[in-house]
Amino acid sequence: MEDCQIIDLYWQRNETAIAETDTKYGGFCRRISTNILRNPWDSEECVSDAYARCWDTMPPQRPTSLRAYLGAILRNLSISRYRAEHARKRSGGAEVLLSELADCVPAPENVQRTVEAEELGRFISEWLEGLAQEERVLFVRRYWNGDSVKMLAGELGMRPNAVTKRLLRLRENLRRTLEQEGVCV
Amino acid sequence: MNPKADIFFDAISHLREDIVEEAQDYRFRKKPAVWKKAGSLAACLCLIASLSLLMLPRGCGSAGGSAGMNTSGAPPQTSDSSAPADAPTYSGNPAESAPMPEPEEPAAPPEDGDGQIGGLQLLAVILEIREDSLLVESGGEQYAVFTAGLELPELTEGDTVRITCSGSLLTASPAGIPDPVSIEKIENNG
Repeated sequence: MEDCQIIDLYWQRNETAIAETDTKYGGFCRRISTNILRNPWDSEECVSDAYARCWDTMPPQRPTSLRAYLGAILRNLSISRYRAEHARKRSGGAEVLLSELADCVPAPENVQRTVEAEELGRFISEWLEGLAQEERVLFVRRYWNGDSVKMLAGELGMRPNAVTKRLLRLRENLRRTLEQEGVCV
Repeated sequence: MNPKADIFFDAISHLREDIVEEAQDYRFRKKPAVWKKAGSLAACLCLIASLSLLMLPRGCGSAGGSAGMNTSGAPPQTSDSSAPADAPTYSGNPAESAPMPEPEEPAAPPEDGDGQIGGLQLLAVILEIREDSLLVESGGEQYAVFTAGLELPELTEGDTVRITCSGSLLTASPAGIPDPVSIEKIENNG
C-alpha cells in the first residue's frame, strides 16, 4: 500500500492504518529503535508508542514521507526512553553515537548565536545538502538510523576502520562549518 | 561525555524528510577490495602465460604445423628463427623462407609395428623419373625425392604417389625429401 493511502486511513480514523503501517515499516521502525536502545523489549514498546503518536497526530498532520515522519517520532521516543533508563549507565547504542557526535560541537570562540535542536537540525540539513550523495547518506545512516559502522562497512565494501575515518572527517567538516557560521550549541 | 552532544542527537531527528528518505533507499556502490583487483590481475597473467606456453610449440613451426604435414608430434623444423638450432636448412637460398607445401588431401599417418605414428606423409604427382631420385610436385612446390635403396613400384610420369619419410623436408629449390621410407602408387597417370 502506498504511503498516501495509509495516511488516508489515519485521516479516516480507520484502525487498519496502524496494521498497514506495521506491515510496511515495522522492520524499519524496530531497527531504528534497537540501534538506539539495544533492547528488543524497549524497542517494541517504543514502536507501539510511535504508532499511537501517529494515530494522535494524523490528522491534522499529513506528512509527505510517512517513513521519515514515523522515524523521527520513533527516534525522539527512543532517545527519551534511553535518557530515562540509561542516564547513569553506559550502553553500546546511543552512548556511542553521542560520544561521536561530541566531535561536532564547535569551539566557543566567535559565538554569535546559540541554536536550539530544531534550528540546528535545519542547519545540518543545509550542510548535508552540500555534500556528495554518498557522504550525505553515510552520515544519515549512521546518525539518524543509528546503523553500526560494521554494517555500513559491509554495504560500502570497505573495512570498518576506513568507514570510521570517513565519518570522523564528516564530523570535523560539520564542526568547522558551524564554527565558520559562528553557531554554538 | 559532552552534554552538548545531546543537542546534536535531538537535532538530527529534525533533519529534512527528503534527506532522510533519500538515505533509506540508497544503495552504496560497493568498492571492490584491493586484493580482488590484484587477484584478478594475477589470474589474467597466469592465463596469458599458460596460453603462451601451450601455443609456443605450434607457433614455432607455423608453416609445417599449420599445413598439418608433421604428424609425428615432434617440433617442425623450418628456417624460422624460432626453430631448433639443428634444423637442416640451406643457408643463403631465397627459397628458405618459402612456406611448406600443403598436401593435396589429408593423408592418414602411417603406423609402425608398435602402432606409433611415423614421419611425414604427402601426396605428390611425379614430374620426372631420374636414376636415383624423383621430381615430384605437391601443393604447388617441387620436391626431389631421393630413391636410392628403396623398392619402388612401377612408376610413370604423372602418377600420383604417397611419399612417407622419416625425416624433415629440405626447403631448398627444388625442395628435397632426403630420406623417404616408402613410396606408394595411388593413381596411374590419366
